[in-house]
Amino acid sequence: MRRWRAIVKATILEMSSEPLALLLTLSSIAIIAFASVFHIHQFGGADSSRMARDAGFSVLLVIGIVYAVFCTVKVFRREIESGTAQMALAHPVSRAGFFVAKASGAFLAYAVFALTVFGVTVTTVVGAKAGGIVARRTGDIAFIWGPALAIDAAVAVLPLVLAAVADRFFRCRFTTAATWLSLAISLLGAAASIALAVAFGFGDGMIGVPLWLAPAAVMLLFPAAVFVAASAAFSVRVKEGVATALAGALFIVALPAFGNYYLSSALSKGATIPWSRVFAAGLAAVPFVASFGLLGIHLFNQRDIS
Amino acid sequence: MRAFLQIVRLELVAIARSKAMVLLALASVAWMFILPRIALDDGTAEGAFQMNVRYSLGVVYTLVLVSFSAVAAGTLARDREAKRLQLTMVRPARHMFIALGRIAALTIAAALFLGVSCVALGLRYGRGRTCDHVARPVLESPEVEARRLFDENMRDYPDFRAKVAEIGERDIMKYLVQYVNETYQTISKDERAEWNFPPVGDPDARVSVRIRVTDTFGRLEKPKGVFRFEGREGVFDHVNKTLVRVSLSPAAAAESSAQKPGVLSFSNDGDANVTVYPRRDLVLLIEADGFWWNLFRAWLVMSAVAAVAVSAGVFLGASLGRGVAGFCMMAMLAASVASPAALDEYPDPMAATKADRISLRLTGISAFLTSPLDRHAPVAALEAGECVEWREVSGALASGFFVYPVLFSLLAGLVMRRKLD
Amino acid sequence: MNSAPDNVVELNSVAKTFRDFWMRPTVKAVDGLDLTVARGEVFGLLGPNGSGKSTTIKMILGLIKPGAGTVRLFGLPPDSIAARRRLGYLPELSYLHPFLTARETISYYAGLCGLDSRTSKERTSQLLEMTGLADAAGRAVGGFSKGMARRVALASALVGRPELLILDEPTSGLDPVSTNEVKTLVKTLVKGGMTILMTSHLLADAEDVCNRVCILNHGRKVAEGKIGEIGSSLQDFFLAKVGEGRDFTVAEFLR
Repeated sequence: MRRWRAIVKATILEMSSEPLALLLTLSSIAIIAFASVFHIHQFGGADSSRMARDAGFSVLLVIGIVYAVFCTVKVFRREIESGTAQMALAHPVSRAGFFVAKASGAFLAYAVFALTVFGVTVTTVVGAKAGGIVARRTGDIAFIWGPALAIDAAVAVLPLVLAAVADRFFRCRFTTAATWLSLAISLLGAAASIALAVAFGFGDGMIGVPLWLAPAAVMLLFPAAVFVAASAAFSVRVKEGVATALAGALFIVALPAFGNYYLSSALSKGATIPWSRVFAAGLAAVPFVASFGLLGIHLFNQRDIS
Repeated sequence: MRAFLQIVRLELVAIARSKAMVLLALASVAWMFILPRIALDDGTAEGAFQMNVRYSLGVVYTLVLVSFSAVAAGTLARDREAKRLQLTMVRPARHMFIALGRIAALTIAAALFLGVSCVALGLRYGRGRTCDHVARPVLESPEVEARRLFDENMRDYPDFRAKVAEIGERDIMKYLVQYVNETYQTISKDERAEWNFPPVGDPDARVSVRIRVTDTFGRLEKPKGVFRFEGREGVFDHVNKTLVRVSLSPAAAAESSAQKPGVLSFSNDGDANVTVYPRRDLVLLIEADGFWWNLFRAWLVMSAVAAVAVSAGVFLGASLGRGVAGFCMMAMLAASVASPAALDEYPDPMAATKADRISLRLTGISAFLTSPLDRHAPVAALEAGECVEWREVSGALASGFFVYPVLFSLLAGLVMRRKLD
Repeated sequence: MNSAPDNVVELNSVAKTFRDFWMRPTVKAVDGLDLTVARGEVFGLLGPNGSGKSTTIKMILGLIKPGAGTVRLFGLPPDSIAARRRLGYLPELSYLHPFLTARETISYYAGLCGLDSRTSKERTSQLLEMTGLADAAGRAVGGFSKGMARRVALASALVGRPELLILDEPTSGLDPVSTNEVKTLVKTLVKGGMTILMTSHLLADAEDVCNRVCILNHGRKVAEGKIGEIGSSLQDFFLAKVGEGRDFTVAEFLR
């Protein structure tokens, strides 16, 4: 367990210091903020939070899978190509244990990204709803996105500013600091917006606490887990470009199945997603994760590490 | 020069020996032959042609742009990370040539990829098919007309002046240009309308009119009438689709012969009014040359656009890490497609809030910066049977094969050494 | 600045400090270094890890700009094409394009030196023979052993008939036979009129081939002299100059 924890920790730290991972996170936040701005007049106050939710869930699904594949391929290929895998395996660590720990680390790195994006989605949904209520009362449409945009901008920019300060005065690594600060500020933003919604509510609890988003977001972890396992299996055998291409091909093949996991449209029709369904969806992903995991372990056991 | 050629050769060898690129080449060629066999079209020959052009060459073109952009972003960055770049940099070759050589090689490879797909398309559709020059009505430019409207409104309406103060003249003018472009003209029963076009002159030239016919609510009308142009005429009847092409043939009628050069007339002989958007939906098609020639010009334009993408990618790879450079390149390609679409589809610039205006301005900048990648639409022209004009080809070649490669390789040469510190 | 014609490399009060994004100094790699390498000599640049050898070499190669002072190569700025035309460089590790064959690699660098195709072909074949790679000339270098890759890199450095050859740890990772071959080669090249500037951790190697050495420590020159004039062995001389305060007691670690 200690070995597993050490490898997982190193993998998460490795990904949090990766500039491209930070870029993907910041781009996701920007997409959620901008997608809403461009549809303001088409949907108006009542539908504006739907836009935020759709943008957030699309980003979680599409960029999330890109992120998961990128993380996994990167951590495995870097270990193998730089020779650090040799160093690790010269210690009392089995190849299977090493593979599982690296894949778990990649998945948890993806979970950090997913949590950051989810926090931003919740904040934007609440902000848009609050803005919509104010806009209806005052007649000023500028309010629809005002609060949400301000918070999104803060989540996108504040971590960078704080990370720059941390880098300048405390010699923290900029990318690592920015990644963790993005997560912290996103979750703080979500918590603050929920607290405000509960406290003020704008009459008759109209904003509401969007906890019903949680099951739909958890659902999206399952396809990501499958992609982590598959990319890990590919990358122990073939080079970075080919592993990414294979994961891309898998993405295209699996495209029709994604509808089962992307529940934003169901939410917009007023459907609720019980946790039992989430559990069932998780169970459905297990055989795929296990198959790719076993394939990866087999391939890793077979290959020479030099 | 020798050093430059060696660098070109090295990159070409790298591409030829890369399994991924060979696979991509095979996949593109296979796609060109597989698509026509698996695609379901609307049953018409023209529909099948349009769909095949769009989804065969169109897909290969996108694939080439994406994959070569990624390769370009990685080529210098990978060599720098593997410390091979410094070995080239200490040789007696100008640093800009290290970048220019890579750009040239990648452009040649991209042009070859596209060329093979173009030949495959030409073999299927090259025989008997022609393309047309597209002429639009000679009207006052929308900007001039919008300016006149702006001045009139400023003079007559205080509310308008207040709106200009709030939103800014630039956004209001954009809206007015959009308004002018959407201005329609109603031709009543038994009425005759005329539009000026550039004169064709040649009496043997095959000329057609392409017009979109809808009413003010976008519904299909049932118009009837005659188009006349420089001694030719074409009857316009039994319309069952919104976009109609009316071929004009030599006319004996005195009315047709008596028309001034360059004037297209339409006499409404039907029972209903006809609505026409002259700036948007009325064009004259003058037969140019064969499909092969058009394909050749489209290939030149596509290769030039690929060269622009490759140049930007090589520069980014010289100045950033491999992953970040690749990401920026993909973001740039996405922005080149998304930014103009977001600007076009923005519902109402007049009602925009301050936040919207900032976003629109940012999107405008992004559209401008990425316009060299999106400005040309050779596949759409091929699909519509429109001539890719030599004027456009020469502009694309100048920017794609000269201006951008030289500019980006100069910049890459400057930043290359800084990254070694 | 006028440069004496017999000095191939001249460094005057050269300093280089690496800085972070905020322009704060992180490492003072080289500090006020004066150095000359005369034509026809084998000059050894020695020093412990982190002493500034690689930074000095990169400044001479024109890959890094000095923060202060001047570097002249053949009396020219080191990044000038004319200076680079007379230069050959063998890095510490053989950074080769894995997809090229040995012949293609050497011929690629011949092209970069501006050799015409006939001369390039002749030089490539000569160098393949000389480095004992003729039989492996058609194989991709990605599959070569470390020693073979080193030979390809050496041949690539020599292809343009350089007047100055810069060797960064030329014997690093080689077996004793190959090390001996490299030393013999260096002596042969010097006899042919070439100037050699080399760095090495292996003091015995430096002692065997160098006429003159300069010892760097913490970016500063701590000693310079001809091998024959040092008096003691190079090993003792080196330890006397840079060894203070570097005691490492194994017994203490094992306790």
